[in-house]
Amino acid sequence: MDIKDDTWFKDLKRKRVSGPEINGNSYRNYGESTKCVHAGQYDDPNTNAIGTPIFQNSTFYLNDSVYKAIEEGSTRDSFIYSRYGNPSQWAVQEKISSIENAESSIVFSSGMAAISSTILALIEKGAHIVTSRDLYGGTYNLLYEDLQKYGISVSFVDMTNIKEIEESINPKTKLLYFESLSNPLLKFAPIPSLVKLAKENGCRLVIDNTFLTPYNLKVLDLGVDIVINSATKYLGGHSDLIAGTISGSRKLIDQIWPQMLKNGGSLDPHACFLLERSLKTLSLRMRTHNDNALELAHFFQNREEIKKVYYPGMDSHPQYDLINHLTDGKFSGMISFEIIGGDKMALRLLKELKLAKEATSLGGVESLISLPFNTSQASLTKNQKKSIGINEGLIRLSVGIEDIEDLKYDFEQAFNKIFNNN
Amino acid sequence: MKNNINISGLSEYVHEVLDCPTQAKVNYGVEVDWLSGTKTKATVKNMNLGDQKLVRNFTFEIDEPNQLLGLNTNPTPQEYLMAGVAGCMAVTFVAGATLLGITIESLKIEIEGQLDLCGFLGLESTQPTGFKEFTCNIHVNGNGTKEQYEVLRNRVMNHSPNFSSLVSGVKMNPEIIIKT
Ligand SMILES: Cc1ncc(COP(=O)(O)O)c(C=O)c1O
Repeated sequence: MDIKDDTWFKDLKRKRVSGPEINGNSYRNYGESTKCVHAGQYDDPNTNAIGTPIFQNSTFYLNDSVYKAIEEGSTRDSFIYSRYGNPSQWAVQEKISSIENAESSIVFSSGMAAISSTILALIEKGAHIVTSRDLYGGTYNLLYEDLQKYGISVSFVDMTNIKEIEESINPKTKLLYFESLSNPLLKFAPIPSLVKLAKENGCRLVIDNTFLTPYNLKVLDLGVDIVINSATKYLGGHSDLIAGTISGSRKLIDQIWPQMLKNGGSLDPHACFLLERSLKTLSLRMRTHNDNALELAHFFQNREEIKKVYYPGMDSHPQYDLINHLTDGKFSGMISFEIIGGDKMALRLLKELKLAKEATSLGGVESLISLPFNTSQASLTKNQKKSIGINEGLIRLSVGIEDIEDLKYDFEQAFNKIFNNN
Repeated sequence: MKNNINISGLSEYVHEVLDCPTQAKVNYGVEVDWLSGTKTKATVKNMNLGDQKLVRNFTFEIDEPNQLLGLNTNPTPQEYLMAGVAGCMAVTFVAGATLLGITIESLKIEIEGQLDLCGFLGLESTQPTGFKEFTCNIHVNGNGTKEQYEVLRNRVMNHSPNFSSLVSGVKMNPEIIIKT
């Protein structure tokens, strides 16, 4: 016998570490902008080229250490095949982990790929999920149409009503799933109370932080288990990319990784390059999105053409104090507002704007504007819209990083045109 | 993965427990409802593993053979007891084999035992009410040596939780709760 007589599992050596990391450049102790610029970047030692190359390969040479990883089950830490892992993915994942204060991250080919893999990995047969009635449509459909079909029960609750959330938790509840800021009314998920509920009930808390971004709020620092971003939005930031991210402890992300292998939805190396490059300016862009949106929200508030403004950075927002406290006054770039004259006037406004582009999606450098009634909430009945508070004339604006005076002027001229020609 | 056992994950778990011993605590539970006659239905309760709740959605029925007043629709409580021990021994054996680098081709664990129902019936007897002894055979095929399999057998006897519960005994003191 070549083993010590009492060798057993206790003698195993491998420990869980953060990552996987391509060269450990996490810049953990640096400021936000420095992390955005530098973290994760892989400078090629053979050529001295600065910046992560695009590793546009589907597969890698096999060797003894790879065979060993396959045998032992540590394949997430080796390069074997690009759905499993690729240096372009690792580099951008490391940057995201640094920005999210996470041990580990995975990039996906869309926000929905990130969401579906995460939810499927974290639930068990017969489990129950508590989520919000105001949910991004794709996520809602996954939960309502598909998971219910497979016997997973889902309760849809008012995300701001912690009592209703608590009462909907039962012994089978495994997952609490919320969006930090909802679409389109920008309701805020009361994350500290949700963290407490999740801990008390042995559930996992997953937050889709797409509308806020890690620049404005690091939800993992508040005790959230997994944070998801549709990187198509602010993280990509240029309306030229579809991608998704998840971040959290290495333990939980390792649990979701095999689900990604089964569902597919890994991010292509070229898209990784775009995302990594975009993230270098995340702080810079978010500062301008935040500033522009705050100023524009106050501008709208003072216009008589506008009935109501929804923006988390205004003290008219019912959760202003909580958000202000948690984000330190950073409210992101999304504004919704109701124009007088209803959907008819809303549609006319969109046609008259010269800068804000009439398009769905959000988070790009250019301002994007759309109407929930004929886009994101188009499938809801009038009554369903009313019940979540979507009124006639509601407009959703993703404020870009243009000069604020130009944006104000654009709305001013459009208001003048449609209301004077009435 | 050798034997489809993730030994890296097991190793990480060992070190997680070294850092935080409560991660080793696992709570199990079942509820068994009487259906009628000799038939009962078991429902598995949620498990707790460390700080995590694991939702369990499994039920199974238990019965007795016709000759012992039952309908013979399901295994008996004795068979479930034996299977629970053998299943646990098998996991322990295969994980241990993986640790030693052994590839297992097949493994079968056989348990048999004799009850003397005099105890159940309340008849005078020198025999215990429960099983006095189980015989157990481990049929294994793989690239290990006989010596290694013997070491593994000893490890199973030390480290398999159900084996250990059975041979060391578990304290149990049922309480009556009257349903009104
Ligand atoms: C809040 C939110 N989550 C998730 C998604 C889905 O992301 P993707 O379109 O990248 O799949 C979106 C997209 O519109 C979104 O707004």
